[in-house]
Amino acid sequence: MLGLPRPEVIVFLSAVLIHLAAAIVGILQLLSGGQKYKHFLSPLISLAVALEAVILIFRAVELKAIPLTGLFESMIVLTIVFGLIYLFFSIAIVQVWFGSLMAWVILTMIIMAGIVARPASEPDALAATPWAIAHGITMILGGASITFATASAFLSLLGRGKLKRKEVMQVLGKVPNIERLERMNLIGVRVGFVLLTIGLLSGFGLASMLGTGVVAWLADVKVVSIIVAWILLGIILVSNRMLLLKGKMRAYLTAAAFVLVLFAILGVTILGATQHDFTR
Amino acid sequence: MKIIVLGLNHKSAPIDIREKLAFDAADTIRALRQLKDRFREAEFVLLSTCNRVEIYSAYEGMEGAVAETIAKFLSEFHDVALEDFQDFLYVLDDEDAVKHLLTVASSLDSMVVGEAQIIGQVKESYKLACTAKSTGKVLNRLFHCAFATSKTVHTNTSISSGRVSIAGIAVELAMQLFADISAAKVVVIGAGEMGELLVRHLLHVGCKSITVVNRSYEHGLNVARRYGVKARRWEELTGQLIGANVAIASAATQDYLFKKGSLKKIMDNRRDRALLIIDIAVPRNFEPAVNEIENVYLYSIDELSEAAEQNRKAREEDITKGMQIIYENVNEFMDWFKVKDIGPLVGQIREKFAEIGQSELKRFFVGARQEASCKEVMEAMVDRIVNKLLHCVIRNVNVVAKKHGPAEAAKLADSIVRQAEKITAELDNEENVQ
Repeated sequence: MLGLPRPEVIVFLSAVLIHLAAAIVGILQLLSGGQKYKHFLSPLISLAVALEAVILIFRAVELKAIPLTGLFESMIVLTIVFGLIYLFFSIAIVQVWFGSLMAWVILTMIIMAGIVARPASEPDALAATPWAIAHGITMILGGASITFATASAFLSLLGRGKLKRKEVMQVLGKVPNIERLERMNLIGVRVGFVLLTIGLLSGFGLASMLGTGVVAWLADVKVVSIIVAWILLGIILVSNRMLLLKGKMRAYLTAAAFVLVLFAILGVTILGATQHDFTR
Repeated sequence: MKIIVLGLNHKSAPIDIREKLAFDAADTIRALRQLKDRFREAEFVLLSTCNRVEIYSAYEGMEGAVAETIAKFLSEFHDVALEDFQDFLYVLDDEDAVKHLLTVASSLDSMVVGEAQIIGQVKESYKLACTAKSTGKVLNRLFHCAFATSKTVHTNTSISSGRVSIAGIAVELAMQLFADISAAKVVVIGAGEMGELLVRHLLHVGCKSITVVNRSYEHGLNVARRYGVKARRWEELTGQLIGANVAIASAATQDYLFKKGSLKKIMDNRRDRALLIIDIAVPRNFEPAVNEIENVYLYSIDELSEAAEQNRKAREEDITKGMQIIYENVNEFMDWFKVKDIGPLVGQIREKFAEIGQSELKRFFVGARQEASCKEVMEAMVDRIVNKLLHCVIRNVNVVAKKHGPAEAAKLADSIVRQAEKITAELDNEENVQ
């Protein structure tokens, strides 16, 4: 959070504290087993989402443009997306694990956003082009989809492992249905693959527009990471179709794709090893 | 006013007695209307389920033994001799009756504690009573209190989750692994009693494809026909396992039917789809090492018993927590019940105090003062004084009602009204003299 304006710092820290409170409520909910704490989660997450939107509004006012080019802003948008997913699905999904899990996923994301927080910087004129907009949106949504697929895969591995070890009471009613988790994993992989495909194609379109050439971009670590993640997702889909892939292996490959995407978003940017920067 | 419940349930009466006294919806409405015709001032709600028949009543001034009257009514309505069932009846009144209803509605008195059906049945019985116009102020409030209590108990405890029987745990395991239990294929190896119990549980949760495979095909076929499921010959067992999602092993054998090696070959033919094996046979039908095969989940009777026992302990804690919630709500309802009859008397006190205020104002605003500009202001001031004094009096009447009962509170309120009437009469006399 180096160099952020004070109002932004205050709003951001408030959002973090609220997400922390929601995560604690999530734990209490899992321990109590009942729905006593469910009524606290939705208001907490709604409030946090509202505060995150305020940060984006601050930035939009400062930049006089849509604030989506910086990594911090992208992470904030992802956090808002997950918050809205929770608020929307919590109406239908009554099991206590859903709220508890989502609270912790969102907390992790906001902390990651805090790690990469930088002051707002003006976007390059390039950022306003259709190729860039399409690229940005599909990559963010693709990342969200892969995160969702990985969370499902993780839970299914967790559930299977505990059932194998006969830890029945830690699974029944606490972990979602295993077959359903594997279906959700597959849906996440499919949607993520489609979005990454569009994202990569729009990225190549952007490269062509810049006249830099596709090959030059293939030397960029961020681009390579995303391409490898995309290939992994493709392998999952093809192997699954040909019934070559077992449930566990699919989960591990999904996790590997997620790690690559995370590296592409966070690691590469923190290490400064990319030219993938649309700010001035 | 008193509240009473009279009835019988699965704990007090056998099923053949309960069957004779059961009511369907039409009978319920008819019975309630007959009761209301006979006892116009009383309120009635009739709850009839497969496990209980109960009549709730709130009444005042009903002559004779009310419980006996209601029991005789049941006997006449169903044309069943009173002697056949009166030993199975229970009667509870006032606080006990309120506690009983709240316990029933929260499913803590059910055959399967925590079951979700009972609150729907209680709501339905209340709805029928409203249709028959047999409820009133007291039972309306009581039943709404029961609905709210049930919701609080289910929200604040895990009473409705967690099975406590081996069969229940086995079914939960299947539902944990497979998204659609109704589409899951189940093969039952052996046609023993425990296997039949599991079949019943699986049918209850909607499982449609169950196949019984028994050494004696005829016995297996008999069991299959009893439950409307399929039967296959013993020789087809391996083929059935290849296609199954769940295998229930309850065959009487001295040796393992399947060891790790043989089951591995079956799993290779299944393209690694998950297989849940519930081995409830003693001695076991499946070698324990079978659990090491990927996508195989083997549970023996001991492991299921342990899980059921853990659930039972958790359920006991939840029952204690649930009863605490019920006691709190019973106390709240009884507080209201004790003071509710004071309402009309409080109204009279209010009326008399207002009369005293008006009389004094009338005495003051005579002659030239009648047109005084401060008249309205003074009337408002007197109203405020009267209301504040009234508030103190009413609070004390309510305290007496809670501590010493409605009868004492009624005596106090009555004495206040008479004294206020005396003061008003004296004021009127003075006015007449003037």
